[in-house]
Amino acid sequence: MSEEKSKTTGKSLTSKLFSGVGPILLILIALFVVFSVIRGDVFLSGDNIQDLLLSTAVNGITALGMTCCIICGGVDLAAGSTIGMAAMVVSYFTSGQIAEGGLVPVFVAMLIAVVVGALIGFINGILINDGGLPPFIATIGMQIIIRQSINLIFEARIIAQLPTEFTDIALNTVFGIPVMAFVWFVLAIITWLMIKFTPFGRNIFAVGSNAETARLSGISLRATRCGAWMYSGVMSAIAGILLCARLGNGIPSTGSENYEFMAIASSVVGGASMSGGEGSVIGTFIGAIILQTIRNGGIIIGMNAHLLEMIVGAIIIIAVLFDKNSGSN
Amino acid sequence: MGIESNPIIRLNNIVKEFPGVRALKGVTFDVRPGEIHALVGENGAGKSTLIKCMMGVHEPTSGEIYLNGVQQRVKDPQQARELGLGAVYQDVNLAQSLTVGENFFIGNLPKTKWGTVNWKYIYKEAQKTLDELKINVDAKDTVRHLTIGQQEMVCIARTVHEKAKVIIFDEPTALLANEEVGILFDLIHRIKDMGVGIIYISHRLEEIFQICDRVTVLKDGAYVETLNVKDTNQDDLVKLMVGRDLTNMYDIEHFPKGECALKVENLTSKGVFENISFEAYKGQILGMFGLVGAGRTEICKAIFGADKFDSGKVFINGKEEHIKNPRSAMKKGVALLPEDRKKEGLCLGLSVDFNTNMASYDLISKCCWINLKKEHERTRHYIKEMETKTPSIKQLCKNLSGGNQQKVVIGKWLCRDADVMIFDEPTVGVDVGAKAEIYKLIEQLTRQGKCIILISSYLPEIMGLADEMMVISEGKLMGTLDRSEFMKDGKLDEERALRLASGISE
Repeated sequence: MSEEKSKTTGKSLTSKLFSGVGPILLILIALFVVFSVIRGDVFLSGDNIQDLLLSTAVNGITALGMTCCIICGGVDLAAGSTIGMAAMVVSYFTSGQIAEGGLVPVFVAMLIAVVVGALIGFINGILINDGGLPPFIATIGMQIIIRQSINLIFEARIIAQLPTEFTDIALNTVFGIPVMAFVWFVLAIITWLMIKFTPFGRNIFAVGSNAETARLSGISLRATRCGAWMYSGVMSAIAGILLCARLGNGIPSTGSENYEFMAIASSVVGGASMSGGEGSVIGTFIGAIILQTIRNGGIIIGMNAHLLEMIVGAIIIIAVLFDKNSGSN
Repeated sequence: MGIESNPIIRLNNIVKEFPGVRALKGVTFDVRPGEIHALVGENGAGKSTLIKCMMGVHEPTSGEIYLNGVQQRVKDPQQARELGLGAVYQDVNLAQSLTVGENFFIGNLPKTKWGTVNWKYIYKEAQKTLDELKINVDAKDTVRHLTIGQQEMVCIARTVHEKAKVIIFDEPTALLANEEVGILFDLIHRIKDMGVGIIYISHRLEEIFQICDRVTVLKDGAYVETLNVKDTNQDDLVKLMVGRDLTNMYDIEHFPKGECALKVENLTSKGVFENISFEAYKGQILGMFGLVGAGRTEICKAIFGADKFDSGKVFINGKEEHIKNPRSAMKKGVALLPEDRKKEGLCLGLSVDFNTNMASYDLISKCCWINLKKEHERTRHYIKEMETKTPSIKQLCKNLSGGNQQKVVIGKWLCRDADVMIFDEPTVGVDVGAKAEIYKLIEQLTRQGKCIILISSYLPEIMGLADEMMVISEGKLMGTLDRSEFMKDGKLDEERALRLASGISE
């Protein structure tokens, strides 16, 4: 009986193409082909590719953290305000407005911002695990609280005079690719290694798939959940730091433009399941590029910006439909 | 009683193929009105596939279905219901927060002439069916407040209400307490007297000899034989099902008592269990018998650190331990195989590989880096050792049969090489072949000097395997029987055990 049944998991080319990241890779390639054919001169130019990479980086990094929360069975709707808080914190500690030459060296300021991100994630984790709050509610509440604390602490004013040492991050390249994109690539690799090779990463899957089984198997729900949301907090903080460098100033409204939803969209397009226990870093990586490519390429070929956003929304729905079908085979 | 009359439903040479698998290889089967016809076979024999073909969930690749002599195509479950085919499954299929009456008419609430819901009609109709079947439930009760046994009766009543002419019972006694089984059988007899054809699927072969008229055996998707129940016995049936003699599956080797591995003193959890004290030894199987709800699972979960308790002491290998959570119990060498493997034992959406290793990463990783090669090796080792049937280590657990799922859970705990292993109802919903393999495994563990605690509500199983048996009733230890006391007059002294389990002290 077992020999007969093994034929059902045959690894034919078609099944490989249509499972896992196959479909979305095909979609990405198709998008590139379409845009290249229509306006290849602009779309494929060095400047545009750089621009594409820069704008994807911030979303892509946030999405890495979001994927961990989704795999863990929840979501981090506080990502946007964590981005904003990190941006303001790093601005505050490096700005010439506050202290001559900045309060602390740039690197220390970035570290403080990351720690703040981790702290926000920790609070989310405790609210969700010990407080028993649904992640949706806990993180939405934090989103509002953090956004308003930004306004309260920093008096809703832009922080300028950021050192060029910091803002140059958005301009520099390393090995020919923008530093921001490079950071994104490195973080994607780290995230992939973490969820595949570390017990903590595996535990995120276990808790997201069946928290009670995980608990009875000796996994600490609190450590895993706090860890997942802290990771998301750190990713959002890094994204916020980079975004701030690109903007050139500490702007209180940084991160308020639906970053959470783009991050969720990238994860779902990449194969994550909102019910937990499923998700892929490569998928999220490709998902983020797909969404940004549509925006970027779409503008270049002259499409209406609103129409573009509608298409982005439609893509999310189609991606989930596609995933459901391959999942039931 | 129509035993020789024309069948209500006849399946002729049903073949069902899925990509790469012939799940049914030409099965012929019929049910007469007023007959209780058992369908038996190991997991993977094709029973659920056959039922799904009948109920319109699958379409047969070839073969015909005749209802009252007329050939029918059952396109979908809705049509199956309209044709008078009904099924009662193990997972009670009711909306918990609604009332019994609402569940009867779910999706199809009758309206008054003003367009509002006709509650009076709903409750009157539902109560009528419940009363006809002598089911002691009020149609206005909320389902959540009923016991599992009552919920099952409600499911059955609903099927009868929908005027089913053929009702399929799939493992109906799996979740019932012993006394509820009697009530269920009475109900099934009443339905039989109404002329309904009943298909009865169960792994508990004694039940078949208690209430069924005929029995059909399937093996590996093929039809083996149909017999009159009075012309056969359990041993012969098992031989037909499995192709080998398993009558002595409870007959395992017993080993001498080793040191005391686990000692529990006056363990108490207010309102759940009280002053539980016992000792469990290496190389021995300590059985825990009791009725459903007696508190055995709660006691073991408390020992394992999964639940809190109020007072008492736990000693492992002679040393007192304060176990705060499952992790610390595991570190001290205790493992617990939970009662509900789907909800508490497995991450169904994840692979066999993942589930096998998820509790023992500390043993296959260095500095937080998992050695994938070791991980895969372990999975393959336990699949081989337990003869788990799975196409690959990456197969998702939700796609395995009950017996194989249970083997994966056992594999997870074998990975830890625990000294004390607590098995909570390890063979519920597991077919005969896999059951025998699990018993052999338990024997192997005791041979290695492990201490096994076996919670079971099934006396032949527990009395067959255990060296000593504790009986728990309503959270209290009523008595402990030694193996030598299990038999009385050449038979299992089930009465004595049941008396203790019912709270009657000796």
